[in-house]
Amino acid sequence: MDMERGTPLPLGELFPFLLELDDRLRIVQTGPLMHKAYPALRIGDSLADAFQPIGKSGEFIDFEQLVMQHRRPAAMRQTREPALVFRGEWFACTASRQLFFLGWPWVIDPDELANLGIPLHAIPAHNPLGDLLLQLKTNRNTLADTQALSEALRQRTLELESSNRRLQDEAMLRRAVEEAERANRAKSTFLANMSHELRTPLSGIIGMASLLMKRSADPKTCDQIGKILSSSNHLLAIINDILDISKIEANRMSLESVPFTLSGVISNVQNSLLLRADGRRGIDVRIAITPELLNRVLTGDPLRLGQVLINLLGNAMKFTLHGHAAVRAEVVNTEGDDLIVRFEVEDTGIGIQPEDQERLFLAFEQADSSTSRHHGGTGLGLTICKHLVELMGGSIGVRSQPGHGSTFWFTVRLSDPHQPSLPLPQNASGPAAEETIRARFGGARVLIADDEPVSQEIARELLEHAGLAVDAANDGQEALELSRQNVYALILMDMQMPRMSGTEATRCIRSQSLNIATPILATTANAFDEDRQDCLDAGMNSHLPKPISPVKLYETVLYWLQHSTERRD
Amino acid sequence: MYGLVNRALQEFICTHHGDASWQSIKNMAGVDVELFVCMESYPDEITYRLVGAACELLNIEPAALLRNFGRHWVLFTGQEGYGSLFDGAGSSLQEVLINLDHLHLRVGLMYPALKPPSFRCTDVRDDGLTLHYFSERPGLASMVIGLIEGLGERFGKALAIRQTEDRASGADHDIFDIRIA
Repeated sequence: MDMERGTPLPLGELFPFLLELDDRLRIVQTGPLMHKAYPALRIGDSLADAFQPIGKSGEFIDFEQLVMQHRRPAAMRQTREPALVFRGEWFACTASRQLFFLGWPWVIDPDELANLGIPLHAIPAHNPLGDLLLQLKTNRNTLADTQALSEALRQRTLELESSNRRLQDEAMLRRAVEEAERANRAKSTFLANMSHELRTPLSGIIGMASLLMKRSADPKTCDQIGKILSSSNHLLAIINDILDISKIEANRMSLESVPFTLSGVISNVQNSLLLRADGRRGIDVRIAITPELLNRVLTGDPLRLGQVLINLLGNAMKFTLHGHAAVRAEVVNTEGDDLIVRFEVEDTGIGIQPEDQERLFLAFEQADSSTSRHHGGTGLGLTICKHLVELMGGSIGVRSQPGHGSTFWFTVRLSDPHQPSLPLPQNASGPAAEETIRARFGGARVLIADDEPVSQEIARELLEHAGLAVDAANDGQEALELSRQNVYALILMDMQMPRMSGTEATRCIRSQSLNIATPILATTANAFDEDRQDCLDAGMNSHLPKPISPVKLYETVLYWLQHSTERRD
Repeated sequence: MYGLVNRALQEFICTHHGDASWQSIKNMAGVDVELFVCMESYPDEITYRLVGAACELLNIEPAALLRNFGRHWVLFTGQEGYGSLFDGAGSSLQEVLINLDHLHLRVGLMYPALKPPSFRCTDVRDDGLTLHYFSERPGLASMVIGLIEGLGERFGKALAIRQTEDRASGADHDIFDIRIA
């Protein structure tokens, strides 16, 4: 090689980071990129000042020592910034006493070169540094991608876990709700069955007490029997409340839709309240409803409407020691054939604390717990009213000031059948009905079918008392046989009987007997609406829930005796 | 096609049309890839399906979409991850275009399956050059035009680019006449 000091070397083109040294280890020439890699380096610098060898074998002792390193791998670090490491080999030319370091910067990221202003393509093609740097960069980028993928996977796993937990929670919640609903239905069924079981013996007590009352002439005995009846009726009212609330909770409460007048409803309300002890206390009850509205024929459920009014007016009378109670009603809106009627029941009683007013309509709540001790009651009345009113398409509320009385209001949706008057003749009621039966139908033959001896005896006594001739059957089969031998003016049929049920017996009587058209009245302690529907489907004419009240029995029997006579006429 | 291209397309769509559009485009193209790995090889048809769906959904001509994508690639995407390589690719438009082939040569050697394009420069002058573009993939000439435009923007040069030969019209390869104003 013919190289002179100070002249540019073609070697520099091949090795852009070339160092050329003289035998005093001074730098006499560099490759074209060295000034970018080591800006502080100057021609004439001593090797030991500019670089620090890495490894003992390559120490810069003197020219001879480095000649020993000829063609051996070497590495050294810049003593000044940027302190790059160079990797390469020593090439000694002993004849010209020259040393060459053929190397390149030891970098692992193309960014390090770029930061020095050295482009990748400036690295000679024979040197794989450029390719290796690109490869390293790609590997690093791939690693970053892998990390991003793994993070995405981790996030997805977390989301799945969280949604899994949510699903599990929802499933548990759903199970809990189903469990609660099942428990509530079981409770409602239990209460319904329970109330049935309670009604049957209560029916016996009320019936027998009523019979005793009719026979007794001794005032003291009459008074005591009156107390038995009063207590029994109170107990019956409680059972009815529990039955109603269990029907409501089991979604088994349905309403009738029949023509009626408010005057009939109000008169029933007054009669019912008169039977109660507190109804006789002499509180002035004012009915402030226009005669026009009182006598207007409407369609709805008069019994349930009456139940709401009895409850509210009963409460008004219960909590009013002095003063009056008033019932008002007015049509507040008309939508086609539908009328929204607003009722108000006002009293001048003890009133209700504001904080208690909200809880009033919740089941088992009373204004204060001492209420039940002072005034009795189950705390279900207003809840039942609320549900009934809502079933009738309305709402209920209260205004009250403690010490200044209360006004309960409710609205119901009724419809106008455009009928001038009720088609059914008004019946004699209560004691008058019994008299009328005796006078008009005395001696008529009726059949009672009931497997329960006490019930049978009560019905028999009541009907015989009204002058009717009574046959009795202990089950459906007997009833069917008797009805094929005798013509009856009326049949009272219990629903649940051994051998043949009341409904089956009725179907048979309707299809083949001497009593195809005879009025058949069902008597049962089953108080659900679907039971009533079963009776009607089987061909019975009406339904008398047990315990049978003498008044109700006489009224119904009279109605059907008259009805069948009119039809025959 | 390497994942880098698909990822750049994703970034281009998300930047200009929103993440929801990209999701719709992926759904429409039936592409269910969560993350494109830059240096992984993906079937070319994925890229073509994505471009096709993007054109249909965004109501853009394929040529226009590819051209904008090419510009975006140079100005934004190329910087990400390989910025130093692009920065070091040259100090003038001509130098970058000449070195472009060396870069693809390296990549092609490292990943033979990727089949990168190849470029040759002829008639290199101070005011322009002729760029020859060779690719096994059809229909991407518009992207190359966008790419050259992007480079012009990077160097602050106004360019006049004319495609003088078109492989779609039966030529051996695409040729672009580039003049620097």
